[in-house]
Amino acid sequence: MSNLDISNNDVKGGAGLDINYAKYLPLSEATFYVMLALDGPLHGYAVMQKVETISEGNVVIGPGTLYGAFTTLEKQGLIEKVSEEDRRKTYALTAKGRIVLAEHVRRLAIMVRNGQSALNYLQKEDAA
Amino acid sequence: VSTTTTFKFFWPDQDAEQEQWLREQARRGLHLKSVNILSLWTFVHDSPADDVYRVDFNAQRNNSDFHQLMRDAGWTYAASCTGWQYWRKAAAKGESPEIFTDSESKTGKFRRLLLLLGGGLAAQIPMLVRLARSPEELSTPHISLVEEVVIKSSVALLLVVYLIFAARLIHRIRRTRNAHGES
Repeated sequence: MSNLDISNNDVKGGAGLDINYAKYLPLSEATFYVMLALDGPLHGYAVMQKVETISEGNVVIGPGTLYGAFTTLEKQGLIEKVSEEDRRKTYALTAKGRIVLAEHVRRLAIMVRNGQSALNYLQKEDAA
Repeated sequence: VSTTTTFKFFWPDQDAEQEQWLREQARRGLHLKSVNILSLWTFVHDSPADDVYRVDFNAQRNNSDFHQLMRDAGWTYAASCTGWQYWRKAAAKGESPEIFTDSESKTGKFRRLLLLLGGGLAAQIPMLVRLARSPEELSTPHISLVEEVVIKSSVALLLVVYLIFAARLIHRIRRTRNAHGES
């Protein structure tokens, strides 16, 4: 029953939100990591450092780009400002942000599964 | 503190050229202090340093939280001139730090400038229309032929400069997007 609901693009989120995923997904690699980093409240520079660490150096976000990403994500209601101290704004994911992130990860998992099975098939062909 | 002032002209799309030139100056011990609209650059003499410079254009983003984020990330506000902001950061070995790291934000400064130029031009359309008419309709009716030619040719020159600015900016935006593999 619930599987049928997921095929619809307008899914009722867990927090009772109507989310049109097409508006937000797919997330860019940088946006994805910014949202991951905001699983708890963090200020800008801490987000930059955390993204570089957890992406194992693959994603480096400059302060100008991060500032723009914060503005966009806040406008979209995916993150929210939780405090401001010494001109440092601290942000965290909203309930809507968590649902969008979860949907993105669900789709990524399907991509990885498909990619892995295609690679396995190609390897078997090479061996034959 | 001794200073040096030098004239050097750059087109507004030549941010990389400016950044490279400022870095070379810093390596020679000349550190950017200020720049004005006449392309006069003032440098402070100090010991040579390998500093990376980055240019941003944003008339509105003078807000303190953005500056705080820049300072946290190790950048120092070096100078500003008519919406252009010059940031400096000591170059760590082998690294070239960036303020903007995706094509959308990298082209943002040029798109903002283009919008500003377009708005400026649109605001002058009534004046251009009036000039295109015969001088009898101008508010100063007794205008000599020489004066009319001078006025009209300087307006035409201004228009040409505007168009060159716009064309260069559009080309620069396309180049940045292509470098990021976008159409």
